[in-house]
Amino acid sequence: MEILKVEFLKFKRSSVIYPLLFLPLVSILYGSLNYYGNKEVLTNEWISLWTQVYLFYGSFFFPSLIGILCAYSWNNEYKSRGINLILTSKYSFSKIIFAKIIVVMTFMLLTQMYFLCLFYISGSSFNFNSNFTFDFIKWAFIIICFSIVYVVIEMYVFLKTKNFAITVIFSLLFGVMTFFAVSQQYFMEIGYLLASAKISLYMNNHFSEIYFSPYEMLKMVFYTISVCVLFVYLQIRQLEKNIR
Amino acid sequence: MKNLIMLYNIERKKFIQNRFIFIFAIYLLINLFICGLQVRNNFDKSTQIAWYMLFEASIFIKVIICPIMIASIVSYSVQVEHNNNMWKILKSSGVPFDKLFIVKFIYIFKKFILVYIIEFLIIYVFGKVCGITSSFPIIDSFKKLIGIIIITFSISMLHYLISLYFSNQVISLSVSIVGSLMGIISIFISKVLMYLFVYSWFGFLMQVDFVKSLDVFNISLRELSLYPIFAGLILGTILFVIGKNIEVCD
Repeated sequence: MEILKVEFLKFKRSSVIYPLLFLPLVSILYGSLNYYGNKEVLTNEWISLWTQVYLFYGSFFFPSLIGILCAYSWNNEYKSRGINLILTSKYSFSKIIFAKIIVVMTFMLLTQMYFLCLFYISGSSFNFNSNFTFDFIKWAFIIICFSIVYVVIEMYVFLKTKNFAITVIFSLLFGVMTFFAVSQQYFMEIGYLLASAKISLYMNNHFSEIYFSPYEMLKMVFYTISVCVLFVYLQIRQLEKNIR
Repeated sequence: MKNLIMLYNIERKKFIQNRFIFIFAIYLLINLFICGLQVRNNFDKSTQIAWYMLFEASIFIKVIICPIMIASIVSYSVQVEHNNNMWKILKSSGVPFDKLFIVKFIYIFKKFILVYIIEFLIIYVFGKVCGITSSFPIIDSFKKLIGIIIITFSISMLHYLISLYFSNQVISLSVSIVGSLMGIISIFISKVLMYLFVYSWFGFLMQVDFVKSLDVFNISLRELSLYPIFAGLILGTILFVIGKNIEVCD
């Protein structure tokens, strides 16, 4: 618990709060404007509004936010030789890595909750006939859980490159690549490997029909855990290499 | 002139092992992939519109990727000096800031020009391989290339200034991410907003219109707008003049 407290402290008064606040706000504002301008065509109320606010934000820019958080969480260690202090730490590398993962996931969860609140406020202002469905919250939460794949990969990229800018641009390019990877019809298994992107795509295109069988969910969980184990192991090895 | 060449060579050494080549390679691959997706759509490959459809896809993805890519690389080039208080060391060594400002920018900017030229060549080769038989629209493509370069000039100048003023990279990158999102959505909402946001100026280089006529969408071409070229030059020049006199904050 102490290590988690320390990791959260590193984010205190950081400028990372600005993209976490502004990006969802801009997405909701612009998406709502776009929905308002096309109300005759977009007739599915809450679902149509969701497609307008989440399409670009969820597919391309949410992975970039994850990249900023991951890069920031490790960047502080490399400033002023702070990485040497990790050697003197009583915690193992795996504990430090897991603590950072938990912190980043917490911020992502809070951002997603903030996004959903703004979505609800925006939708309420349109006086829809239908009610806000719990499915939005359920699937948004599931997306966050599966986004751990992005977190572990981007943290590894930072440890490998030790470069804030490269990690962020890689996270955007990775987000774009995963979007196209899950959109294609040839290698369906990729969709289960990149579960977060697949569910985001389904939420935008087939929200009312969104359904995954227990077997499919199990596949997604299996792939997610496998990727996490692999990249946490790679992070530990890279950290050992960096410190030597 | 000799000093500029010396500064340029030193700048080149700072970028050894920076891995940006992988970022550019991924960017070009994504471009190729999105052109491939476009080719799968049913349009007549014997008309020049086929070439414009390829460019349309490439330019659309630029609105999303380019601002963040530009901000990342520009902020990296400045961060190299922010680290370890290099700005103060350079100042006390008598290195003129305006020359360093120009050299750093030229070194980064020429990389972007090279990547865009390669990108256009790839699109040309890809179009030919996919069976587009019509003649390549050289003049419009050249105008697009110039437009992309000048928009990149203005966006890189903007982020160059932000990175010089704020040593925290998060700020420059956050501005680019929010700007990119605003840019892509502005293209769908309002042309007035497009005129105002530099991040949406890539949208002016898109020429294909889909006109609905009796339940059928017909493709037509509109005239290429030169607004981003003029606006980009003006904005970039103003920011360049401001940047030469900026006080770098450590």
